[in-house]
Amino acid sequence: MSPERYQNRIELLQGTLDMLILQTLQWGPQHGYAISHAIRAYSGDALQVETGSLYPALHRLERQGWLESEWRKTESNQRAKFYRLTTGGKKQLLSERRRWDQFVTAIGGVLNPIKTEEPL
Amino acid sequence: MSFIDWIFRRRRDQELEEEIQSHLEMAARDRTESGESSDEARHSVQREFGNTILVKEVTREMWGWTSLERLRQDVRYAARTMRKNPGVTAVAVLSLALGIGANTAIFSLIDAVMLKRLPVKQPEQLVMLNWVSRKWPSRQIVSTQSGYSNSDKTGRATSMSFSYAAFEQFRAHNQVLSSIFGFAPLGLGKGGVNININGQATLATGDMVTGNYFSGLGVSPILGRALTEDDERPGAAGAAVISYDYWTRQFGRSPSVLGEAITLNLNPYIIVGVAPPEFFGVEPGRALDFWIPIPDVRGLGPWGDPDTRALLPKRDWWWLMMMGRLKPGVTAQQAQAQLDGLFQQEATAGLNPMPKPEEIPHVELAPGGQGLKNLREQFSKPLFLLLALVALVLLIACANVAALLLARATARSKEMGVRLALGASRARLIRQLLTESVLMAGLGGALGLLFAYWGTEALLAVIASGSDSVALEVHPNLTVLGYTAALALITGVLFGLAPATRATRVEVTPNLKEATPTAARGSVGLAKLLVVGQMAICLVLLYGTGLFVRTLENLENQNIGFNQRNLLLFGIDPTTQGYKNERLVSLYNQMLGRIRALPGVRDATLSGLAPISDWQNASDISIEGYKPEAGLDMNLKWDAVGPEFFETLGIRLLLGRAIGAGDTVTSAKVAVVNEAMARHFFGSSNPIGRQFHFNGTPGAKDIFTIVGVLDNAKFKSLREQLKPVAYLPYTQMLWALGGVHFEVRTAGPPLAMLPAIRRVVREFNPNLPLADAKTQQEQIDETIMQERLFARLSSFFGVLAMLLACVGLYGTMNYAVNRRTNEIGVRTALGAQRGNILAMVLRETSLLVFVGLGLGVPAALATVRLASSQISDLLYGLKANDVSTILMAGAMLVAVATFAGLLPARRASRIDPMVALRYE
Repeated sequence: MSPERYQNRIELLQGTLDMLILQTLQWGPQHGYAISHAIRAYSGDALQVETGSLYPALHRLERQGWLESEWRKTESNQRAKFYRLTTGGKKQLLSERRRWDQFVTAIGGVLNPIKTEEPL
Repeated sequence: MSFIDWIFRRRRDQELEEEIQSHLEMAARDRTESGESSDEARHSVQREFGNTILVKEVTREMWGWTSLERLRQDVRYAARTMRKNPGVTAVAVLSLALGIGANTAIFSLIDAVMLKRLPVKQPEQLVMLNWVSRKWPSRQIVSTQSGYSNSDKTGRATSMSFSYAAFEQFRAHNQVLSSIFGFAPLGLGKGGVNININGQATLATGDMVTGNYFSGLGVSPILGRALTEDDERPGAAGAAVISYDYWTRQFGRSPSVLGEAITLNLNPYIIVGVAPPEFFGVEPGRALDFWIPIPDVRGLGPWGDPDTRALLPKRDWWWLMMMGRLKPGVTAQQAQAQLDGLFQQEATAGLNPMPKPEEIPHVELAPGGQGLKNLREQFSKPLFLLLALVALVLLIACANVAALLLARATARSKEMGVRLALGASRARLIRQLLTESVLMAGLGGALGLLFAYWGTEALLAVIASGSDSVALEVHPNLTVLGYTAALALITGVLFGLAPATRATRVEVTPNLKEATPTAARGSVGLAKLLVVGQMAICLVLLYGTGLFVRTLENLENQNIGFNQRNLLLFGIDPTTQGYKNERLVSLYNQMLGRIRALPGVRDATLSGLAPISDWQNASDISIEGYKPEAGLDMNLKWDAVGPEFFETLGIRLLLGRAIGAGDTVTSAKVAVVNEAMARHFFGSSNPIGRQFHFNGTPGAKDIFTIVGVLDNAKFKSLREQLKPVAYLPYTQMLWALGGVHFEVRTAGPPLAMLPAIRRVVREFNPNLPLADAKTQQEQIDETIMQERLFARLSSFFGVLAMLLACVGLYGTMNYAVNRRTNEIGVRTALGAQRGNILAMVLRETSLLVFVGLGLGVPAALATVRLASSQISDLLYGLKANDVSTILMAGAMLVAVATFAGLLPARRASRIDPMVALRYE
């Protein structure tokens, strides 16, 4: 009912965490532990996802209809809740990526305004 | 929270728990696989994961609250707040309960009278047949009309009565109704038939109906059989169906009632069935005891006629009411068109010359699902007036509660500030406050239902008093419950919205910083506005109350021209036992003699109509050797009376002689007229010796000589204008002689004479029950039942409204004084006297009251003008703009309001400056 309350609670990762989760799930359904693992691994251990942020984000994304979940067994025969991207989730991922790219370009432009003239 | 919600949430909780557990286990396994001991692994995993309870808490937040859960939170919070302020809650709930209760009580009556459908099969298919014509129909078409008819100012006439021939025509030839059935009341009014069960004669109310009445309505008896078309065959044994209520009263619900032989006005009948408990006939308010087929016997006729047999073939004597059931797919318009076609053929067949078009009636169909409309027409406007009255009371109650909540909202502005600062949205807070007010209204509504239950009982007791009583079934039902619930909800939102918006319109920072809230300053202004509104509404109510009370007083205290004290009335109808003409006269004379001889009886007489009973005879007369001025109304009201009528009643004889024992069947026909009659026809010349006769009645050849003139006395009702009246010896009006009313002047309490009188009557004939035995005073009271009801109810509601409004005024001023404690303290410290402070607060109070009066006076005048234009006979002896009444209402309101305002003012004047300055 009031997803905006979440915004007060989740700190800086807000927005990017959603994108990272969606991106991670692009290659197939995964459970929470694996998602946090994957983000850490892909970021070269630079990004540590707090579980206190991950699970609220997963539940919220599911509520928003971008994720679906089901209970399945892992390879090591452990029951776990697997999340999968929905069509809406894929679209959301695309638009967030586009925004992120714009954002990066813009920030990059600000930080390196005369990059080519910079002496090496 | 609903059970389903609860289950659902529990499952999600369990799932979340499991999800986190599986996360922890997987993490732990990874660590053990890389060589940590399992204990170590679990610890580090737990450390890494963090506070699981917090994680779960935060995650759960993401699910969002279901609206039901939130409602539950709000209700619980509201209940807690209400418990914390029991005084405020009690006053608010009680005010609302009174307001809602009054509304529900009146609405129950409206529901019973206006909205209820007949307890029959598919009532929406039923249509009631009426006829309308632009002028009263030509005498060629209808010579006599018995039944419910109405002519308006333009002369447009409507009625529900048709000839039996019209019924046969409709039944034989219409293709639009699946059934059409007829009915007519036996006798006049209530208890029109002498019914003899096992030698016990009593009076009962019944209808004669066509054989398909029960099948057409779709009413099946709960015992025995219904009447059928077979019962109409000539020579069939008389069959009767009795009502469940009559079965209970007379037979104790004995199943052996079937086959029981009874007599109706001496004709033998057999009880063949008992109607279902909810069915009382098709005329709401006139509950029937029995139904018989249209009889072809002597002594049982419709509308008090002695005989039905003579009426059946008469095409110009209209008396039968009809209802029909529309065939599926046929609209009322189509049905009306075809029925009117048939009706025109029947009514105008063979007429030569053809009557003028405006004197030819046409069939008009009305919805029949609610039965006859008499009761609805009689009560609809008064009931809606009462509803308006109680709606105003409720409005005042609402304003009170709103003012209370406003005051509390200000007191709570700090709480609101904190909650807003913590991130609560304003809409959420408003919703929470509205929940509180709706809950309050809900409690008020529940309590109100209880009040309404008592109130309705009391109202019914008033309405049902007297012989022309209205039988009404008022039970709590879904419609009424729904109305109450809707009312509570609407009032809850209505009085809650302003305080709620006000309470949440706070600036966060000052409220947190200061001990005394400075925001919500405007709330005193709003509360004062509410008080002004209350005063205005209150004045409207008090003015209405004053008018109703004075109307009743005017009616009761006027000179009616005779002495109504110690006068006993009762009716008997020996024609039901076969008495006629000279035999009847002789019976009456002997009875009068015996009754006069009873100890305790001063005098006794009889008359065709009971005085002031809303009945009258009216006939046009011709005066011998008299040329009336053009346009002079030749109508004369008359009654047939016994000897010593004027002496018994105490009507003063002005001229000539009274009617006495010497005026017999054979002596010269005489009349005694009232002063108004003499003045109307003869001006100042002497009327004694003048002669007149009636036009167009069976007695047209009888010429009456005026032998006396009486003082004017009320004749038909307390409200009537003075009209020309003639009193004629009953012995000389044999053609009109039937049942009569006796008037007995007693020395002591009139009703105490009844047993002795019953004994006398029984000695003459054991099968003559007394009808309508009551005192003249009771008789008069019955005719002003509605006025009495208005006066009583409006007094009650007026006082209630005034109390509520004064509580509101008191509360608001008290609150205003509280808010200004500081300022008043400063004023006192600077030298203001107690008297000054007192005057200051009182000035403020009276400003509110007088602004309220200023608005209320024009509103009151306009309201009463509107009401009296809608309801004729609303007032008596008064105009809609009665200066003295409005002054009285205003003075009363000012007095009570001043008293209510005095208390806070006194408190203000006693404020100790030292305490007040430390108050912050």
